[in-house]
Amino acid sequence: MKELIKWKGISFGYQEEKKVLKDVDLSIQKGEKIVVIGSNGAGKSTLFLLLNGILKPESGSYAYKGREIHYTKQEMRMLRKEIGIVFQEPDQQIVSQTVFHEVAFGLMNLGYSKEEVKQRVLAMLEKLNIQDLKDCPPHYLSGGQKKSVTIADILVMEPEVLLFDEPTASLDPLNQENVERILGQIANEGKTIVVSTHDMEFASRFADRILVVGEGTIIGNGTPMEIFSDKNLLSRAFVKPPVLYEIMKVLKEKKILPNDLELTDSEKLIQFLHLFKLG
Amino acid sequence: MNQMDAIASRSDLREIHPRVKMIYTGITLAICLWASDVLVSILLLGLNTVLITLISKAPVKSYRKVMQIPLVFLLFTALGMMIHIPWTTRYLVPDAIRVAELMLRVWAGCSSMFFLSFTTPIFDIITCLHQWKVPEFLTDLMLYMYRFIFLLLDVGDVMQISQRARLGYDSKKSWIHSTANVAVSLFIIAYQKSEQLYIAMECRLYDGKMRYYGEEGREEAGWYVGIAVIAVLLILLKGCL
Repeated sequence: MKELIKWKGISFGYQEEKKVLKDVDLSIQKGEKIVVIGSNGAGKSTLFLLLNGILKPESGSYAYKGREIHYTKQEMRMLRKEIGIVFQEPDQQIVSQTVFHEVAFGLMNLGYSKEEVKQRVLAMLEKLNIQDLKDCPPHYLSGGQKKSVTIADILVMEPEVLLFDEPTASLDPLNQENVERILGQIANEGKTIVVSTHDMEFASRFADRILVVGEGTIIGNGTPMEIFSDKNLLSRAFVKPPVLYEIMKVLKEKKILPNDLELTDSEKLIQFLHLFKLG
Repeated sequence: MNQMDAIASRSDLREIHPRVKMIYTGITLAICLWASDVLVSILLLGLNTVLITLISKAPVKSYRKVMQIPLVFLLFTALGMMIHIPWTTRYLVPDAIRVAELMLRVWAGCSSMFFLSFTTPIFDIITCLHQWKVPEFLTDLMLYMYRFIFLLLDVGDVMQISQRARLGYDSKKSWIHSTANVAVSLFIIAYQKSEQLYIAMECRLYDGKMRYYGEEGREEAGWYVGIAVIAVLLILLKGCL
């Protein structure tokens, strides 16, 4: 698999004395689905802004697609096109007065012609099923609709990597499902996705790999099974595993489940248990 | 005004190119102010009321509320203009009829402006100005100001509700204290939000130049003819009363 992003020793702090992230090493392959977990203030959002070049690290090296980034103007522009961020708060991101203009914003900045912009925007609105909202002011939409708009306006720029900062925060279950579905769709198209979340069930279902941010750096890097079984790591990061794992542990201890069974989806566990004759 | 924009985006006249609506507003406003005529003002008021409530289908309640605002100011002004200054022989404007005509003229002009407000979202207006080669720094500024004013009004509203729930406006002293708190907080929030917005725009390759997609809308020669007819009619009717 092609290595898209490689960090070595990246450090960053908003103030001189206090570093938010220290000596971070990171590697992201093309097509991976990565989930970043950690407590509030651990540095997840900072990590994202460092990834797309908005923040410049104080030390360390950043290589994208094998080429070292020296933070020239072209490189920054390239990074921001290739790596798109969907922020947690849609209101933080919404610029324009209609959904159409909102989705067109990035494309206009990329210099596409008016016809090209129109074509791409309409196609994207159809893809995310929000074409009916084309002329609506984005501020008046519901939370779920706003979220779809903010995803559309980044996706339409065709980035290689998509960063989602807590995409399901403050959404109702139906909308959360919708977002998850969209993420799955994007992943199936070969994009690389990095999501930060507090929803451990989602992390367990979605991630190929989980990065745990804590103590100012990345303290964990592994499959959901590996991460959620490591009690020490979880307590250092102030993270609780999904109930699924606790239950599976007990079921394995009671010899109800085979020890080598690895399930990351509570739905699958339920199906599995239905097939079982207990007692 | 946030609601105004919401009403404008639902207007039945939304589809018309903003250019047409702005030209109508500009021309009728100019004629009304130039004519200084009671008949012209009344006719314009009537025309705009019909356009706004029946054709654009804006809620009558909103139109009524909004037309009351200039009325209040105008009444106070009229009062001030007719006051006799003691120990002098001067009145500011001694002729009550002229004062009434002035107020009517201004009120009718306002109705033309409100026509624009009720049928055209601000964003369309600004984009049209941009197309008319109004300097970019002005149009960009208007866009940002517009966006932030409503953001701040909303935040300020929520803050006040929260303060009221904690009895923040119960006494004169706490009233002043609470209002000051809201003002300071809004400053800070404005700063924070503008930073966040800028970062979000930078992430989508904003480089300082706001690129306007350009307005779309129906534009028919017939409408311009209609505007011309109305204009000529109003001009001819000056002095008929």
